[in-house]
Amino acid sequence: MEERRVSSLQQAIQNLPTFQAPDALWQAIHHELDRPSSDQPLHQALHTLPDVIPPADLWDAISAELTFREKEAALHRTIRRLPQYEPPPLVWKEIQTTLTQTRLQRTLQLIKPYRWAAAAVLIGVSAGLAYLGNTSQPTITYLASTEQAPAGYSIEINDQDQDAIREIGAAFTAYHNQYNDPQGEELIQELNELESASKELRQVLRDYGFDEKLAQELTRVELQRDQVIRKMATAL
Amino acid sequence: MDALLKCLLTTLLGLCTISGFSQDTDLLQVVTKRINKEFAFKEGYEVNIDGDRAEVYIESWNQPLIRVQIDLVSKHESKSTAQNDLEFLQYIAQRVKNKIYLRNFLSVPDNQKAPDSRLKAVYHIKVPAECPVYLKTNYGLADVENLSNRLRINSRFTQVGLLNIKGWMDINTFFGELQGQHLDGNAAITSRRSDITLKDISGHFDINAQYGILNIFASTGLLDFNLQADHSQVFLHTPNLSNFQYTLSTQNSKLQLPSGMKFLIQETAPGVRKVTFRPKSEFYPNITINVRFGELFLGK
Amino acid sequence: MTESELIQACLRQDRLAQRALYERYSQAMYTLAYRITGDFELANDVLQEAFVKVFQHLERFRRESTLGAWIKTIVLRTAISKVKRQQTFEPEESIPADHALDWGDFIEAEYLQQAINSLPPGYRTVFILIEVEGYSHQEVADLLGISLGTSKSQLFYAKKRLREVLSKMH
Repeated sequence: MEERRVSSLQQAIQNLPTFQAPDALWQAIHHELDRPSSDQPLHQALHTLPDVIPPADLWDAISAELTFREKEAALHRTIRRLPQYEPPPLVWKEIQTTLTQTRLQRTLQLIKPYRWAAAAVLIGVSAGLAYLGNTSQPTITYLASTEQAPAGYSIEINDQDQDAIREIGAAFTAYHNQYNDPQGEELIQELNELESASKELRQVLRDYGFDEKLAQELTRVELQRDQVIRKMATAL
Repeated sequence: MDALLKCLLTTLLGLCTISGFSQDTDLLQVVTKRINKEFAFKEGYEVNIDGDRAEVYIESWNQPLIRVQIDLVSKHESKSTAQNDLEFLQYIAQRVKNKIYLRNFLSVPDNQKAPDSRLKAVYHIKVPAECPVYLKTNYGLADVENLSNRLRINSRFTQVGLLNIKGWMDINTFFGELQGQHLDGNAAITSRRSDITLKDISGHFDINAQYGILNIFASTGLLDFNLQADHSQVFLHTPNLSNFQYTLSTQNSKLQLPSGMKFLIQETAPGVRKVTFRPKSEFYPNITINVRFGELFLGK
Repeated sequence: MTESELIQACLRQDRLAQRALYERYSQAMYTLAYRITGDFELANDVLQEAFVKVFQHLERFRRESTLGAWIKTIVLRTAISKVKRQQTFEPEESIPADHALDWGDFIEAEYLQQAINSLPPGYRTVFILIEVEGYSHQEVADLLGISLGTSKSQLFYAKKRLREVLSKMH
């Protein structure tokens, strides 16, 4: 049975159709072979063109560009995540109104005798659309008033009175480094924290202007700092 | 010593001047940019506020809306200066997915002079009581009332006032002051150099305080109270003293206990004391306090 | 409906087709308008004016680009004209040789949006056009009527300002 199948296959293979190459093919091959020999030097020259060596600093430029892109990667990732915004419904209504008005203006020219009726329709449509409010966008208003400046308003906050503090702090730090007083470390940390708080509040008062409560807070901070300074001075 | 005297005199002078020794009576022009915005409230929404030199007033209402009014305020003797400087105050009032962001900040371009005017922002916010609120505020004031879900506050140099707050509270303060009344829930408070006054507190409280004065008035609803205080003065008042279990530890600190109650006092090391009291009832709330380098006063 | 059919219907003043075209592009164009102007009120005005122009001049659309690109050009020009008075471009300054700024590993998107909003209008426009919308410096120079060098230096200083504002926000 197997032998019969194989022989059937072989027979089928033998009976496969054959195909004739088109006549034009030989003509094309012939034409190619008969190409003028004057092209040869060109082909030879093309094969022997010299290699171009890139300039020495090209890699530096590529590397700099790659570094630049790496550093900007976080920025560009975040740009892709920037929020998108939906316009409020009123915008489309306004667009429709304007388009309707434009079309109406063109129509008015055609129906001039009836312009008053057309104007009444236009006013009615506009008023109806304007009535529809929109609460999803912020409303911004500007207000103006006057008030008496509080006492101490014109005080300038500067750092010139801080030199004495720094002097004592520096002296105590040197003392602590020499004698390694156990409570000294805590005092120095306290002074640093209170100094830093004082500087921060002074900067805020300069940036945002004088404020009574902040000034009181500054006073409180500096009183606490002065208590620390007193302890340091006593130890010295 | 000369330097110390100089420093003390300077601070004293500064105190006098700042507290009103000089009698300026200039008239200030006040220019305000008022922004009003509303957001629909849905379950899962939360409000995030970041106020810089801001006064923040938050209260609840029974509308499913979050109503925001932000006033950016500029004050100067000259109106045009006040108006120009107002432009340096920027704000954000936007919703991104389920979070509503409210923020103000100062933005002065490099090539422009720093503003001369007094600047601040004032927020008036109304939220549903169940709306979670996260508030970060520097150099200002915060007043929060009638919330009942989650409240987180992170404040620097700010006076914080809380009234009738329920639920979960997480409060961090640095300098400034914290005053709370009718607080009921799970509260975690961490403070450094802030004075704290809490009246009528119920539920569970965990407090970690450094360099402050703490006045705590517990109510009968207090279930658990843990306080770690360093370099602080602690005054704890409880209405029915003997209804609570106390575990009090002090290190290098003064301790004052109420008379008429038998506390067990153990001195475990020089300067270190442990004081305990257990009520006669079967169930009782716990008060655990540890004070180092400070004072602890317990009374009615 | 194909784009071609949509355009034809809009030209016939078909309201539904106009609405469909508007809705197809409104979010992207509104976002662009807001990013350029930095203000929702102005962005509303820009979107309204731009789409009115789109519908009024739709017959002039020559399909040399996509419809979206054509609409974007109109929106962009309208937005730029709105902020033109506020826009000042600093004179061309030299950019340091090592002009890469370090942005760290992660930036919150809403912080970046807020920082962009805080930029002066001139910086903001150049930054949005180049970094967000992908225009080249030459295209931006042509659009805004500035030199190529000014466009490059505006972008550098815009990024420098953004970096400063972002560092204060964290």
